[in-house]
Amino acid sequence: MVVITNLKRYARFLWNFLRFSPNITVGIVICLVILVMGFGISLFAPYDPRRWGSTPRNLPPSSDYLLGTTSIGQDVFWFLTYAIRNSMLLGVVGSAIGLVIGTVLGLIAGYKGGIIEKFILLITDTIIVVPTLPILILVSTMIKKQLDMVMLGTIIALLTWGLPVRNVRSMILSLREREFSHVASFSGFKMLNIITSEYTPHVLPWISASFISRINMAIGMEVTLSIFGLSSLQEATLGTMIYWALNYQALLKGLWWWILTPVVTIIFSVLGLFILSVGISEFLNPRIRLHRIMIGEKK
Amino acid sequence: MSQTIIDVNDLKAYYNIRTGGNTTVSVKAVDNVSFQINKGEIIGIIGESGCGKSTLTKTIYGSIYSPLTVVGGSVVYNIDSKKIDILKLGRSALNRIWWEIISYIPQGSMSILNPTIRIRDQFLDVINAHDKSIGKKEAKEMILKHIDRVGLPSEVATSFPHQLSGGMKQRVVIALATILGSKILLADEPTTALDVVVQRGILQLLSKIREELKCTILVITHDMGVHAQICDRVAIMYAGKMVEIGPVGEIYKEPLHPYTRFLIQSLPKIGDKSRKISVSGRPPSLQDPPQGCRFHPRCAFAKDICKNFDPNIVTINPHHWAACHLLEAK
Amino acid sequence: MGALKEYIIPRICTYVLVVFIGITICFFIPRFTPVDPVLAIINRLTESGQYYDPDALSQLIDSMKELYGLKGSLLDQYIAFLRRAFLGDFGPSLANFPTPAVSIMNRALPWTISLLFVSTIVAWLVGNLIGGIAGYFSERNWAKGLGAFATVVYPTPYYIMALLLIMSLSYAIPIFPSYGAISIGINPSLSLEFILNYAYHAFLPALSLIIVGYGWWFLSMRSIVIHTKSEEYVQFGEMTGLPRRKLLLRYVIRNSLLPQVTGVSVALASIFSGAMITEVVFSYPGIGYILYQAVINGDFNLMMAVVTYSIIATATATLILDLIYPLIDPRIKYK
Repeated sequence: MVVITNLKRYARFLWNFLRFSPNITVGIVICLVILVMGFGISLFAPYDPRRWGSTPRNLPPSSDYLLGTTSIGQDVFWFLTYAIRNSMLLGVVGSAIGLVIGTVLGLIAGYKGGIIEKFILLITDTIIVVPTLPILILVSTMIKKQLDMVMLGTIIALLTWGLPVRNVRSMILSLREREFSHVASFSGFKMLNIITSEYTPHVLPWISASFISRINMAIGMEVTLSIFGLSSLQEATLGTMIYWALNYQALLKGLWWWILTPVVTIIFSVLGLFILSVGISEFLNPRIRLHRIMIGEKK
Repeated sequence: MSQTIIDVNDLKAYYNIRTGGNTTVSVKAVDNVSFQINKGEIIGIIGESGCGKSTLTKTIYGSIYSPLTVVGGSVVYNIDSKKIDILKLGRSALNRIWWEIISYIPQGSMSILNPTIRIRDQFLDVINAHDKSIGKKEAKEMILKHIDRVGLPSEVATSFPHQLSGGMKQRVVIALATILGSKILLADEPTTALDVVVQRGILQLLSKIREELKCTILVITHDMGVHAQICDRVAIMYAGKMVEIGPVGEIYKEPLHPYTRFLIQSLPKIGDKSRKISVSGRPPSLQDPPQGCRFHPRCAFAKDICKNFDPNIVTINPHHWAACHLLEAK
Repeated sequence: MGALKEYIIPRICTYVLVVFIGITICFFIPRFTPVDPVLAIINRLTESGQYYDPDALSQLIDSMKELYGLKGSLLDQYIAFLRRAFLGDFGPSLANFPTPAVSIMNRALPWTISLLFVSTIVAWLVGNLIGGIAGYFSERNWAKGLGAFATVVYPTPYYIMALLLIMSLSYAIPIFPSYGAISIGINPSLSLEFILNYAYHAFLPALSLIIVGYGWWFLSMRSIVIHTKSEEYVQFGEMTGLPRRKLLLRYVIRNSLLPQVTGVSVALASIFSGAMITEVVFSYPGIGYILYQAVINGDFNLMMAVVTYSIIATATATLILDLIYPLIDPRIKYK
C-alpha cells in the first residue's frame, strides 16, 4: 500500500517536472530520442556498421538504407546509432569524472582555506588557462593507438576539471558567510550535515547544469580531435563520421547525407542537452520558481 | 487653516500573486486607507514590519509595479490649485511629477546609488532628465550647494558610493531629493540601519529642510522615538489599515486605539524600571486577515462586536481620529 | 597605488608560475607515453610513405633524442627544454627542414591574432549589447525570439558552425572562398587591395567565431541584466524619473558589463581552441592550421612550438585582462 502511494507521489512529481517549462519537455524528449537511438536501436543493427564494404557505396537515402551509404561501404543509419552510443558514453565519462574531481577539490579549497586553498587554486588556474585543445592534441598524438572511449573521456576529464573548482569554491565561500550557515553551525550541525542538508539545494542546480553542459563540451572535444585525425578512427563516433566524410570529399562529391547526418545529429543533441540543462536549473532554483509565480502571466 | 496637499481616499492596493495553475492569492497590503496630508507638515506613519506602510508610500508616490495592483480608491495631489490624480497618470506624465513636485527618499542602503558613476554624475543625470535647460556649470554649482546644505563636504560630489558611509549616503539621497525643489518628500525608513547618533543628525536635517524649503514630509518608520522627535502628526497602521491618526502630542499623551496604547507603553522612559508588556501574538497575515477588527486577536479589550465588524472611524477632534469599537461607546 | 602593488605583484607571480607549470606539463606529456615516442614517430613517418632524405632522417633522430633526451638525467633534459623554450628555439621544423619551427609559427601568428582579436571583440560588443537590451525588455516577444536564436547558437560547437557556413555560403551558394587567407599573388601590406582581399577571405572564419561567441555573450549578459535590473539603484533611478534609455545604458548595462570583462578570461581558452579548429576547417594559415599540418606530418618540433606558445599566449592574455580590470571598476580603483 505504502509503495503504491509513494509511486503515485513520484509519478505526480515527475509529471509536474516534465510540465514545468517547455525547456524541460523539449529537452527530455530530445534526450530520450538520443538515448533510444544510441542505446536501444543500436542493439538491433543487422551487421557491424563499422565494417568496410558491408554495403554498396555512395547510395543516397532509400528504403533499404535509411540514411544512405558511405564511400567506404557503410550504412549511415546504423553507423549513426553506434556513433551516438559511443559519443554519449564518452561525454558522460568525461563530464562526470571531471565534475567529481573539480567539485571535491573546490569543496576542500573552500573549506580548508589557507595554504591548501592557495595551492589548489594555483594548479586549478593553470589547468583553466592552458588551452585544452593543443594539449589534447599533444596527448592524442602520443598515444594514438590505444584510445578507446572511456580512456579518451578520462583524458578530457583530466584537462577540464578546472572550472568546477572555481565555481564550487566560490559557492562554498558565499554559502559559508550567509546567515543560515551560522545558524546551522550554532545549532550544532556537523560540517557534513550542513553540506548535505543546507547547501545542496543551492548547489544542485549548478551541478546538474554543469554536468549536462560538460557532456556537450566533451563530445565537442572528441569531434574536434577527430577532425585533426587523432581520435580513434576505427571506432564509430560522431566525430569520426565527420572525419571520414571530409576525408572522402563528401562535400565535393555531393554525398550530402554522409556529412549532414553527423552534423545535424550533433546540433540536435547538443541543443537538446543544453535546453534540458537550462530547464533543470530553472526547476531547481527556488528563486526562479518564485519569480515565475509572482509575475504570473504578463500580457 | 491647513491646506490638504495629498488626499488619499479609500485606497486599496493589493499584491495579486498567481500561485501555479489558476489560483490567485491577494495580499491586502493597503486595505481601505483614507487620510489627508497637510501642506507644510511633517507626518509620520508608524507600524510593525509588514503592516503595509511601505506599500502605502509607494502607492502614494505612484510607483506601482506588478504584482502590486491598485484595486480601488484614489490618491489626489493638490498642487497650485490643480488636482492631480496620481494613479491615473502614465509613465511620461509621472516622470514630470516625480522629483519636480514630489520626491521619494529611500533608505540609504548599500546599493541605493549607481556604484559605477560618481555622486555628482548621478545628480547630473537626474537634473538633466527633468530640466535640460540647466547648463552643466550651473548644475554643478547646484549640486555642490545641496551637498553642502545636508552637511557633507564637497569632496563627496566627486566620490563613488562605496567610499561613503551609510549615514553619508542617506544625506546624499536627501540632497538628491531636494535638488529640483520638490515640495513633497516621502522618506521611507530614513534612519533604519543607522546608529542613534547619526539618526539624530538625519532627523535634524529633515526638520531643517522643512523649515528652509517649506516642504511637506512624510516619514515612515517602525521606531516611535523618531516620530516623537520631528513629526507634527502621526498615523498608525496595522495589518493594512490605518487605525489612528492625530497630532503627535495627543497620540503620545493619550493614545486612543489599544494598539497605539501598547506602542506608547513599550517606549522606554528614563527612570522607569517597570517591566514592559509586549503585545502577545504576531501581526496577522495580510492574505487572510482576521474578520472584524484586525487587531482583535491580540487586543486585551476585545468584545464580541470586535470579532465580527470592522470598526468605524471615530473622530475625537478635527485632527484626531481612531478606528475602534471601544471608542464608539463613549 | 600601494594597494595596486599588493595586487599586481602576486598576479604576475601567479602568471609566471602558471606558464611554468604549463610548460612543464608540455615537457612531461611525451615522457609519459607507453610507447617509445621516437620510434613511434619514425615509424609513422616512414609508414605514411613520405620520403625523407637520409641526412634529414638522421638529424631527426638526433634531435628527437636530444628533445626526449637520453642525454643526461631527467633534470638535464628539463633544464635544456626550459632554456630552449626561453630562447624560442624548438629546433627545425621536421617537415619543412631546415626552417626553424619558430619562424613557421611566427609567420602564422599574425593571421591567428588578427582573426581572434577582431572576432572576439565584435562578438563581445554585439552579444553584450543585444543581450543586455533583450534582458532589460525580457518580456517582449522580440526579446524572447532573440533568446531562442542565441540558445540554438550557443551550444553549437565552433567547427560545426564553420562547417555549416562552408556548406551554405561556399558550396551551396558560392559567395565566399572556403580556404586561405588571401588570394595567391597578393602580398601583405597596408594597401586597400590587400585589406579588402583579406576581409573577403577571413569573412567566413570570423563569422563562424562571431556567431557562436555571440550566443555565449548574449546569454550570459541577458541573465546578468535580468539580475541587475532588480537592483536597488536601478529601481531608485527609475523613481527619480530617469528616462528609460539612460537607465538601460548607464545603470543596467554599464554595471552588467563589468563581470563580462572578467568573463573574457574564462572564455579565452575555449575561444582560442575554437579559432584553431575554425582555421583547420577553412584552411586558414594561422597557428591552428599549422598545428594541424604538424600533426599530419608528425612534425614534433612544430607541434611543441605551437603548444608551448599557445599556453604562453593564453596566460598572457589572461594576465593583461586581470591587470586591466581594476582600472575599469571604480570599486577597486578607488580603494
